[in-house]
Amino acid sequence: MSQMQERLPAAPLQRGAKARKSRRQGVGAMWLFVLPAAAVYLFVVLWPTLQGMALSFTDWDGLSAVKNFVGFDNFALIFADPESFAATWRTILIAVVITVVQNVFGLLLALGVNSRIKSKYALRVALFAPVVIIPVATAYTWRFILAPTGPLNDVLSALGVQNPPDYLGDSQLAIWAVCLVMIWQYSGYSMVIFLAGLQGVPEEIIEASYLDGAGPVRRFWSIIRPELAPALTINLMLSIIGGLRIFDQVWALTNGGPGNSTMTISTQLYQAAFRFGEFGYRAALAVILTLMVAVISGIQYLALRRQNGN
Amino acid sequence: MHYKGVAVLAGIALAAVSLAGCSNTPSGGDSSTLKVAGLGAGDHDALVAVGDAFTKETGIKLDISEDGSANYATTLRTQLGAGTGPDVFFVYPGSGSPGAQKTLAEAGLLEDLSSLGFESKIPPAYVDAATYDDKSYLVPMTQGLIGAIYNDTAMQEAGLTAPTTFSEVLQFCADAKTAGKTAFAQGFLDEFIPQMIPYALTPTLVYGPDPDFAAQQADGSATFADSGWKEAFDEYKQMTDAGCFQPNFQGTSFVDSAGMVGRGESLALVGVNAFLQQIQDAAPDGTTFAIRPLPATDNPDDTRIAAAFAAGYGVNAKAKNKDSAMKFAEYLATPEAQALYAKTAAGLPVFIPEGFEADPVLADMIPYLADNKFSPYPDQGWPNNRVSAVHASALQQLLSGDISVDDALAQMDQAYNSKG
Repeated sequence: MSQMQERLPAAPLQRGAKARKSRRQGVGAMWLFVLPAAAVYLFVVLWPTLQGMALSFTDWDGLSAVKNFVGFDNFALIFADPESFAATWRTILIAVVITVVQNVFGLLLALGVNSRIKSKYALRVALFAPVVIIPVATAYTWRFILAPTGPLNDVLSALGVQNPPDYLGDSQLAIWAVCLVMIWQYSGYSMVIFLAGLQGVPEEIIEASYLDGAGPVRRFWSIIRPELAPALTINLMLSIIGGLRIFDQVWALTNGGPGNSTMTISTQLYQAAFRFGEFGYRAALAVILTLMVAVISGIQYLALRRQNGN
Repeated sequence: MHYKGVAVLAGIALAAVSLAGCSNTPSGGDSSTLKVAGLGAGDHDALVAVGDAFTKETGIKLDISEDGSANYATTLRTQLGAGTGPDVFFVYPGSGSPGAQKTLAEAGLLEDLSSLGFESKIPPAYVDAATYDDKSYLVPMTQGLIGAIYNDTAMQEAGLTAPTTFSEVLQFCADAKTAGKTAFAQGFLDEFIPQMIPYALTPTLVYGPDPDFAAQQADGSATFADSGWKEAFDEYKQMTDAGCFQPNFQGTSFVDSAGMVGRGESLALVGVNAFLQQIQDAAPDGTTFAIRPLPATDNPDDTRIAAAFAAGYGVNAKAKNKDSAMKFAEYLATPEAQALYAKTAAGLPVFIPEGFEADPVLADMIPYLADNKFSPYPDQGWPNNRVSAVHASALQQLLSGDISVDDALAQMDQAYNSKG
């Protein structure tokens, strides 16, 4: 008995130790499984990012072996250059326009294809199709459509418009043409996320709202909209980040022109690095862009989370 | 076992990723095949023709890639910086481009070709653009000429002749309009096009009357703003105001503008002779073309042209097949290769072989070369790549009416004096 008494408390202790050991082994094994992916992330993303940040404090030209430490000179040059401010302003303008319009269109499309129309599956595929096209290919297609002698102006001319616009050559219009192309391409993306949110709205609540006599606007505002909050948060985050990083479409459509009127931070960054050989300056621009994206999306996330919480 | 097995796998993955990340050798492919990169259109066809002849003679195979976009220089620069560049590649002469000889040679990315012995044959006017630090880093292939490329068939149909004075240029624009045509189709959407007209006008207005202008600019005693560049920009503005260009020229691409000239909707296009092929591709059979100078004053005797050593090939200092690359470079400098390249690209070789017959399209330009009435392209002497980018964007703003001539020239002076 005494032996038993000695042993009895020992059994749960042993089990607890075994369980802890097993858990530790499980956690350790999990880390080992994570290791290859973490290694890829480290070498493909983190290490080059840190290297890039370090370059922002040098005068490296991108080709030579010499890199001189210049402190914050590159950042000072950026803040002294009016074109950098103009490019930042344009980038923010494009990001805001894209975020608002793309999400409004995305939501309307989602509401449309979430209805009981017969062709809703075909429509979903058709509306999502632009998302899977390579951005550069999309931009070149639109460059053809928006050319002065392109199909769009051909239609306008056929309708009797005397001097159809020069969408890409007019410095006042070009930035809107860039927004149009982005919105056309990514509205389907927003639509899919909203659609996922819409399909999570309980059918019985919708039916109850019918019985209570709610009209479509009231039903959307009071029942559907609150349920879509998580989808809206994701959509706004993705579109603002995409808008701030915009490069491919601008470069393929206008090269940042005419006369810098569509130059964004990313195109300015590309130009500084690969045309002017100012890799240090480019890295400083990239650091600023990264901080800008982080701060803006962070503020947006916190604001939306607070709103969702309410 | 589990730990050890997973750890080994993870270690292998880590090592593979590390090694892949550290890899810095030119990209693979058959080691006996020479990787050659060039421009598109005429230069590509010429390179292929010369490459085929080289392969026949030596048995060395060539893998030729082309990039007809405005991004060739930036792509090449990125590849060379990453150690994945081709063995032999097109190099821009002078210093005004990210893919220019001076930029690449300074960074130690070009092999010294002085031992190939062609240096002494380079015409004196091109020595500055063809060498760096008294050494040759590229084999000069063709001379480029800038002028107005006329669709002579459309000109005859419209009953017009090419202008020989600047006043006649403005009259020509008005007459073309009366005939229902556009005088000049310029595709401003592509950045290399806006600069063509100033390049065509400034030999007459700047570099001819003042041959030391580039040197004076370099020592700070001359500026764009206080030079004939002001007159060149004024004339450009006058041409715009006179309706010399097609409607919405700012949003027109080069390809579209070349098509307009080829089809005869426009009578001419100001550009380099290498554009001719793109224009001819859009033209009906039997259409004839000619390149002629663009006059800048009212005295035809003043007229000069922009002509420069325009195409050259360099060898990657880290070429995987250095011996074959050097053999190809040596072959490019031979009279046969020079003649074949120039003939295919409708250009003029730099080392003109005996008995070489230039393309008849160039007939009106040849006397200017013979009489030494030409100046190199201005950008070949500019100290950095920023000037040509600012030149293009300033012209877009100027011709849109967003800025004045003085503002445009001030932007260029600022870019000239910047360090980048």
